[in-house]
Amino acid sequence: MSKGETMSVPPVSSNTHGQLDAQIAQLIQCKPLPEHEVRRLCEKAKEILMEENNVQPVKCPVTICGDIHGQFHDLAELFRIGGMCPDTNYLFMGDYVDRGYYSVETATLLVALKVRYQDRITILRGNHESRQITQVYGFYDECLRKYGNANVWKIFTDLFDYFPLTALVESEIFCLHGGLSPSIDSLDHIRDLDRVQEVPHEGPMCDLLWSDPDDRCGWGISPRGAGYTFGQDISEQFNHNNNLKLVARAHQLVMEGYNWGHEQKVVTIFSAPNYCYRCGNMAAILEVDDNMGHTFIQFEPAPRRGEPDVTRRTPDYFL
Amino acid sequence: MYARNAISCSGDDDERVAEAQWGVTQQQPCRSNHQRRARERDERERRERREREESERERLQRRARERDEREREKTRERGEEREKRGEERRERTMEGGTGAGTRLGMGMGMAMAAPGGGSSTVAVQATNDDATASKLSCVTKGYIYDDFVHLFVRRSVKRAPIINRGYYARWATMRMLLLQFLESDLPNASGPSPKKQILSLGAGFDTTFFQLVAEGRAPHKFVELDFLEVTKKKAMMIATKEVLLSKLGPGKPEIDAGKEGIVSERYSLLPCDLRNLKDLDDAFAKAELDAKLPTLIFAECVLIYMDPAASRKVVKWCADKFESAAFVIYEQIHPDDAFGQQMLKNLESRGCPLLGLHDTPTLESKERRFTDLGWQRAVAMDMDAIYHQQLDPVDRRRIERLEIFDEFEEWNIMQAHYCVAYGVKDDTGVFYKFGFSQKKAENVQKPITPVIM
Repeated sequence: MSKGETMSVPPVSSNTHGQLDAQIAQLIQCKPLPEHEVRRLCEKAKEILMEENNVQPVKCPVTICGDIHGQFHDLAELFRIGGMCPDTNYLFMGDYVDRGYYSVETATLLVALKVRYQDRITILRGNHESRQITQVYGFYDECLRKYGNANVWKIFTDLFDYFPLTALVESEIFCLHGGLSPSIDSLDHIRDLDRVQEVPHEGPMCDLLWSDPDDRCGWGISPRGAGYTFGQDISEQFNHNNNLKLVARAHQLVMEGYNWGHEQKVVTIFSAPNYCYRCGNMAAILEVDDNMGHTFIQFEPAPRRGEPDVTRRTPDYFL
Repeated sequence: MYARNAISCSGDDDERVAEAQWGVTQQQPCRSNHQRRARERDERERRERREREESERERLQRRARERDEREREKTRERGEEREKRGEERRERTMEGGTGAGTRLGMGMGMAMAAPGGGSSTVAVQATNDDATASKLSCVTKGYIYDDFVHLFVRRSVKRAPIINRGYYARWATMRMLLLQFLESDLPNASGPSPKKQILSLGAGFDTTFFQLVAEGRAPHKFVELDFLEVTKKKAMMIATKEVLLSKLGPGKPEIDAGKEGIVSERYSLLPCDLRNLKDLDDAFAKAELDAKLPTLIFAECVLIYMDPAASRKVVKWCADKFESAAFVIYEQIHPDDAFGQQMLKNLESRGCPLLGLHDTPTLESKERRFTDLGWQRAVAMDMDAIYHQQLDPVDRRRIERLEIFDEFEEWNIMQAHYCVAYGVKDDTGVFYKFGFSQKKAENVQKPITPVIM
């Protein structure tokens, strides 16, 4: 972890942990780190993430989570309900930033946990972990607002390029943000991708982060303008080819927090309750136990404890 | 579960949701002590929060009531004072008024709104500022064209793509119906089109009139009504901007921003509290509307803020007043599902609860409100269906390329919670072709039934 450090980083690892633990304690209170600390943290995270596989192996037990979207207090609620890292192992399937008011704190906390407990938490890339999307959906503006410049946005979006694209839990559950791709038949295809780049507009890497399951068979054009829709036949074939039991993915708002599809070949997990403070949906996480048994836990928005910085601003409607 | 009215007891609603959630989580095995402790702690915190919020809500509701009462009192006092002195006091500046006007002028409507309860007229008026800013965001991004809305926005804001697209859908639908009306003719008519009137209820800072003049499509008469606090500001803006003033017509307009509003040959802007039918009668007379001319009435997100009894009176008043008319509304539906409940809560916490939503919660009930109150036929369609079935597909594709859009599930849900509904009353045939295309059959086609209030 300390290789390549040129700054005045204390060489003793317990000290590093001490500082990291202090940072995590600060972040848990939804207080962002100063720019130079974010920079150092992301440098360390980059070293860890670049060693990870495009199909990162994960052991059970693990708790699988979907979109968070800057809803920091709901992430804290998720940890209260699912157990804090490292007591519980986590696999997050992307979309940490944009939409919510606390993308900075959310992304920083997850990256800090990754650096502190690299074997206890896996953080995949979502379609919002991208330079282009974050400029439209809020993370860029939030960085400007909180730091006065775009440096932190640049640091994070550069780091996002290293996030693994998919994960594989005990060779059975294939986890990713979006869905399948017509250019990909096997997990080895994914292993061959060069992932360290901005999310492209098309192609296999784009599809993994953008596609959605659909009731119609075969491949379909996605209304999103990126990725594809894929039917049950595709999921069955893919799972069969790769000896998988399940594709777990996020990316779509589902009102109950999780939603089975394709006769239990695919499950959607969404972990941002009352998404955008507007949708009224439940959130869910999927606990996979030592025996690969599944338990979904649903949860609601965190009780707002009258934090003065929680804006009273209501989400937009057509008025 | 308890079958209760969600708007009247949203405190209990919280409780219900929390209970439902505990029902779910308690089924899960508590695998460790820290989780059980965390859950117990959360339950305790939820209970405490609920208690705090309930007392807080009561307090805020009381405050909102008192504030509204004070506002009314002040308005009354000011009116009496003016009449007694017989003087017309001119407001020094646009924001130089006193009382409620000052608050509104400061743009503090939202901040002053009572979180968690009570309907505040100030907060309802502030929805106009929000909508106007959203329209400007749409114009800036190229969704819609409007040469004048920027004149009414002090500070431009950037809205999320979902909001831009939603305002586009609303604008395109309203414009489609508006142009249908303006271009409509009597069946088998050979002469010039009949003169037409437009009456916009709760018009806010809508710029349709100016846009129509600029396009050479202005109707014979265009009348806008809103709260005095809104018309006062709008009149002042019009009076001080030549580009707007010059659109009012050839004759010299009567402008009295402070009280009477604007009356000109083809455009009138008049103060009116829609909860008071006498205001409507006065405005009708002052604007010299003609009961016999075909009239299009608009109310976008207006009736929904009113008590159902009051909004029904407005719908009936319009049916009674005009011989040949269409009344088009754009407003929310479906208060009872998760999105709808959250929408009610959010807008309530903003001080502008949707008081009318439970009275007309569905498309069918929006149609029935018209047919029950003097309109011959009515159609309601949700914005999701309108977007896909009624709007010009070429233009739709154009706007869909304007911004990255990644809010599909939310977009569909949100659009399904808004609708356009219209009632038509017409014995002349000028509204023969008015309305949505027949891709969806008109649901309600009934003879005029006795009015039930």
